[in-house]
Amino acid sequence: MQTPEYFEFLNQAKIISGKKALEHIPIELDGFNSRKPLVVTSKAVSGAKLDRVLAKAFYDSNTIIGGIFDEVPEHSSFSLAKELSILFKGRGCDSIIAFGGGSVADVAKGVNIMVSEKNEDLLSFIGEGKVKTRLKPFVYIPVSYSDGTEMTNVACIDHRIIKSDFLYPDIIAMDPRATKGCCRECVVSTAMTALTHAIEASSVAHYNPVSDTYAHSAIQFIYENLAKGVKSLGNARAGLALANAAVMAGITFANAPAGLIHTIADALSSITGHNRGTMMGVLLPFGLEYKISKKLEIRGELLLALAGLDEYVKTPEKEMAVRSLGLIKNLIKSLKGALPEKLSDMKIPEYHLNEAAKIAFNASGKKYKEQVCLDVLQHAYEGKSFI
Amino acid sequence: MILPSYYEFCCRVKTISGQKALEKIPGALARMNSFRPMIITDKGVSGAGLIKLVSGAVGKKVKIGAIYDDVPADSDYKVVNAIAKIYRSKGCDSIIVVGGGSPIDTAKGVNILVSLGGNNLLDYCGSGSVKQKLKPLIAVPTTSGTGSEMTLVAVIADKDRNIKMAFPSYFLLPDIAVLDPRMTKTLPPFLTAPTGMDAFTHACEAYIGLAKNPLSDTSALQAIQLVSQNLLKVVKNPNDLNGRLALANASALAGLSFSNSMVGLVHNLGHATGGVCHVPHGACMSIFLPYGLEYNFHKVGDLIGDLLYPIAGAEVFAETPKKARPEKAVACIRQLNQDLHDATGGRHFRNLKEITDRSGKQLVPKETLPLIAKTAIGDGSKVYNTEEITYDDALMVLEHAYEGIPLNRKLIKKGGKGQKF
Amino acid sequence: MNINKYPEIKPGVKYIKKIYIAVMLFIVGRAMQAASRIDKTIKKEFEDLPDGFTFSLGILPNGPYMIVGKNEKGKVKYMGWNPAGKKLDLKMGIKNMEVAFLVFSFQESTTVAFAHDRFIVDGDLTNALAIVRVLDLVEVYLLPKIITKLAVKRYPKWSELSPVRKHINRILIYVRTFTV
Ligand SMILES: [Fe+2]
Repeated sequence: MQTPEYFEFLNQAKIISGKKALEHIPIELDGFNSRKPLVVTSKAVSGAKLDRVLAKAFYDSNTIIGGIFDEVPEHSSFSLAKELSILFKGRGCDSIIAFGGGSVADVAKGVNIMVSEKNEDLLSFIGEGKVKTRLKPFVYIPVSYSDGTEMTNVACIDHRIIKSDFLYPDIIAMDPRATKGCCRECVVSTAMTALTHAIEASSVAHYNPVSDTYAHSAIQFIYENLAKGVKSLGNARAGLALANAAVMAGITFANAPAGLIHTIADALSSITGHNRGTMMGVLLPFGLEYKISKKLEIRGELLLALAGLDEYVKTPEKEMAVRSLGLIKNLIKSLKGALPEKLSDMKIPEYHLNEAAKIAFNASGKKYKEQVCLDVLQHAYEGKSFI
Repeated sequence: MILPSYYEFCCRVKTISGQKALEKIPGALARMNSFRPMIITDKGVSGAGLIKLVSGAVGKKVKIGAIYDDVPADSDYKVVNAIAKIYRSKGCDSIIVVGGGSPIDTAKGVNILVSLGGNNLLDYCGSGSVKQKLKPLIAVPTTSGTGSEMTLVAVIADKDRNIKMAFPSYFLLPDIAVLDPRMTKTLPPFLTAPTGMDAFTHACEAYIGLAKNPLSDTSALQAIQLVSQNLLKVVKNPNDLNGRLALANASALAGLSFSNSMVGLVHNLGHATGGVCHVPHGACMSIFLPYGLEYNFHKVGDLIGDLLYPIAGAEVFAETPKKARPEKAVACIRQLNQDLHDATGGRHFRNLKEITDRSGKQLVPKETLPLIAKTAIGDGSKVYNTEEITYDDALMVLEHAYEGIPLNRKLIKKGGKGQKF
Repeated sequence: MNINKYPEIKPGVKYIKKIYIAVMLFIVGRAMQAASRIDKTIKKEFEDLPDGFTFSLGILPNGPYMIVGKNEKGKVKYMGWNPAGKKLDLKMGIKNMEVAFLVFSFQESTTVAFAHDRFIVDGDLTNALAIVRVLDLVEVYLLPKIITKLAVKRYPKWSELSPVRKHINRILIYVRTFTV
């Protein structure tokens, strides 16, 4: 095991996971001296009557729900954040609960900045490190869909990024009632985002033993539970395990620079409007293959996380990366078509690839060469192997 | 991977680790709007010249408000009150604590007073009295063992009433733990060995304890691997800075693991032996660890078998049939203790019988074993051990540990096989 | 935005669960008092606690509670359900009603609930452990073996607790719990 020369790591959130986790939220909030949260969520949650489950979970406590706003659309906006901050102040709330994935958490973070910094101009916080004060207690309740940023220090509102360590949730409460799979697409997209983030965060170049502990748990949970979770969406155990994976992967992702596959997927999905997680899933095997073909090292421990101790110790070190790739390919095969095999299956016009490669190159701060990005994209488009 | 039906995990400490990590402190303070830290430490640390090193790295960029270097070996609430007074009179706005368990506990106590007001720590006794963010606290550990930089509880003594008070609150967690190998470089081998074994024990007990969870599991395995690969090396070559850093990382990882999963029989007996006979904590850990594993074979044998990989490496793990792995893991730990014993010229102890103080006096006479067993029953860590521990059980294990012979497992009263989490 | 669409929600009360738990607490409290006079081990545990020691076990944040204490003569007494105005040396709280229901309907044992961080202990941990041991033993008496086995780490062997002693004690504890 190598010794890292230098690393930093932070996980701000207290994680609670399992049976009746929602019922624990009042006492956790009480630990912050908070008694009146505003709940921000979407129709996907209230449609499944989960808002009522949450309200019931607060029975017999002293915690009043300041309101449940369940109309966050798929894309968050500054205007919505502003309206919600008025609701927050009007009701005299003292904390925020984001119940749901993606835009729900983004908007909640925006609201939290406005009410904590006492500044209506959310635009002035765009960028990194503009938030200066500790924010109100922020609870994130994961559902089966996550875009991989809810648990991080980033909020994306109207396609603008606000980044600050103060944005990390204080509490993440995973409850099997909330994390049951909603649809195959969501489950697969969430898992592929997490898998890509976890694998890329535990790369050779950025060896970080603390981050590794989160990444390895995430990879293992996905490998063991994804097929089950996709096959039977009602499987509460698999749902909870996948939510755990998403949270852990998100935390490592926030502590590591964005990897090649993430960056390319992000670029292509911003052009085409396709779901980013699905994109990562399609690109993941090709990206890994590329790294193997270029002899860029892939951590042997990846195999440990995927296959477990017994198989890991039997595999010669040289074969570990290829073996890991094989397992990931098998995993994707076992999803039986829930994930497209190649980009061309997604009806993406080929000329978008060049554009995506250019964006990825710039987004990575010129770290990932345009030609490299394009190479990976083209292979993924045709479904052509690197090896 | 085991997903417990319910678990909680919290470690809000930002870890900054590496060569020259100390130099990152001023920037970190500035991000928390602090510019005048107080340094809290003990005489041993300042005597070893470590405070000079810290102030050298920090003092160029921020003004150090005050230095208190007289924390006693057992943190005391009166000392806490006194330090808080100095902090206020010097107009400090944050705390940097340098040292092991006692200074870190003391600093946590000071932080309660200077953040929430008041002159007496006793006013904040009991859980639930600290419910808001405190002043910035940066911990710089110097021992690579206790993991106190990652734990949320402050244990502070009231010597008049002869009790130890626990102040548990997530707000007591340091904001930042700074792991710099220069801080542990001067720790002599005979102290490095037991403190390393303390971290080792935290990780092992966290991995087999009742409150284990996925994150405590992976961090425990990492910690064990780091200790196994580096402890003996560093004890033999104290200037191995890379090894020192690895041990500091291991200690922090083990700390974050056990503070979220708790410890079991080893610490149960260790706390009791330490309390009754004043044996250093690390010495107890090295001796009891093999027994703590053996005692739980019938409940969590498979988990103990897993430990063989980080302890002995892939080859040994692959060679050993599944059934034999738990015993092999224990044998490897006994061998490590023996190797450390040899490398320190006999100053690393293998059994209770051979523990002596500096004057050569035996610290744990056989007559004290019943008293130790009785004390152990009142210690909290037994709750998290998978098998029940009664007075008779504790005494039985103690008698084995006294001689240093493997546990006769026929004597364990088994409350069922296998353990669900 | 029409804010009336998103009204404030005051926490309700789950009456049935609350009553069930209150009854269970009452039974356990009374059983502790009864058992402390009949079972030697429990008697010994209480003797080791300081005189006048009083503790509460309850559900956070609003109850119900049970209070048990030792009076000046060292006799263990169930002291009702209301902690108001009582000087408590030890407060043991279960974090919420649903979890308390898991515990008192024997879906999650006391030990496991402890390991799951579902309890908050305010006071000396050594004393809290003594109380947990007493609770374990009281469960052994009150419940059929098949349930208790799930709840305690090690069910007392016949050799440790003779069958005669167990059954006679069990009957005595039942009688005293519900009569005296
Ligand atoms: Fe320890």
